[in-house]
Amino acid sequence: MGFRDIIKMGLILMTVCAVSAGALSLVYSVTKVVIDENARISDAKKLREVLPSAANFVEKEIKGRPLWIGMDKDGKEAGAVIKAAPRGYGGPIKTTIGINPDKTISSIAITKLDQTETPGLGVKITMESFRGQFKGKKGEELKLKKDGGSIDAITAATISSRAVANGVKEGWEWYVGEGQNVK
Amino acid sequence: MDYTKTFTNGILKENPVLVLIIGLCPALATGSSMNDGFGMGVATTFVLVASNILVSMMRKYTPDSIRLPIFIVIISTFVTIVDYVMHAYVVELYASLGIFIPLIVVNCIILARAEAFAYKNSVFASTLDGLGMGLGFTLTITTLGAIRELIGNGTLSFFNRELFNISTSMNFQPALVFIMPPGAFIVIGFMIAGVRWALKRG
Repeated sequence: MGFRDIIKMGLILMTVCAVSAGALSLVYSVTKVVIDENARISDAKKLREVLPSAANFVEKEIKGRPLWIGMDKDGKEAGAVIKAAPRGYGGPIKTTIGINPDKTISSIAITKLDQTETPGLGVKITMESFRGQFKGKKGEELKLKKDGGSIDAITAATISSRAVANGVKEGWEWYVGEGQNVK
Repeated sequence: MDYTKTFTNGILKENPVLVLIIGLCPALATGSSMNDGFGMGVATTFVLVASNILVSMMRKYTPDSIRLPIFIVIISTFVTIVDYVMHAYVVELYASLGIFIPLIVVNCIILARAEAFAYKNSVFASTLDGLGMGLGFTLTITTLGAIRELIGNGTLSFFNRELFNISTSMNFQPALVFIMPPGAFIVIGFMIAGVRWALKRG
């Protein structure tokens, strides 16, 4: 291959890459807006889902960590929602945690898009049969049974299960410790 | 050129997973349930057909010596575009298929078909080849997923719905190893043997 050929091939490759990069950045900028909007809607839905007793939410922040105070339709405080992102087997698991006024867990939400756990195994943390176990619990109960708590781990997905349990417990402790004092 | 044969080749005679033994990684990794297997199959078929068409269209302008980097750029660009568009406009579908899309980039079926078929054949034939290979891949990985899910989890799921559950209804104790990687190798071994046997007999 002569010098001219090398230049020619390089130019062709550069053109292909430039066209691809252009197409990608175009699609990215168009879809980014829609994706962010979808995420916003989904986040708002999750707040209502984990704290059904609240009619609307007020966003607060303590030391950089967001917190949503739920208000029922009479304007009375109906609990709070916090977020956690514990490290699972395949990356962070974005968990939305609702806490009742009596400091027990109201409900937790993890959608399939919130996690990247193993299909068929770890992904079962998104199922109600696992998430539902957290309802009405607090403190040391928010641990796996094999760690001395009361949450059943998913068979063959202990790492994912433990990540969620510890994430919820850590979030709960933060709320009880300093989060609830926000005004 | 026999178009019927081009299409049917991928289903059994040149089935990518069971005969050509390519694309094993995504087949084994995602074929742990019927639902996920089918999802991966559909997503792969879509990308395969589109990449075959693109590569075939560009084959006259692609210099031989740099065809591989060009294929890879085309395929990964296309897969990423599919990923963005699905994430933005079909969120429901993306929630169940989204995790598979990035895996398609490393699926060697796509590159193998670009190199072995689409680079040398017309757009129409390449489309048929993509469809046939995709269908063969989908059938294989769905069957693989169904067998593994049934033995390993006691359930069968499709379209994100559980069809039945023999572990609760018939008190079946699932053999978890089938959901895990060793189970994939065991099942795929039997499937390859079965297809070899069937092809040998005629």
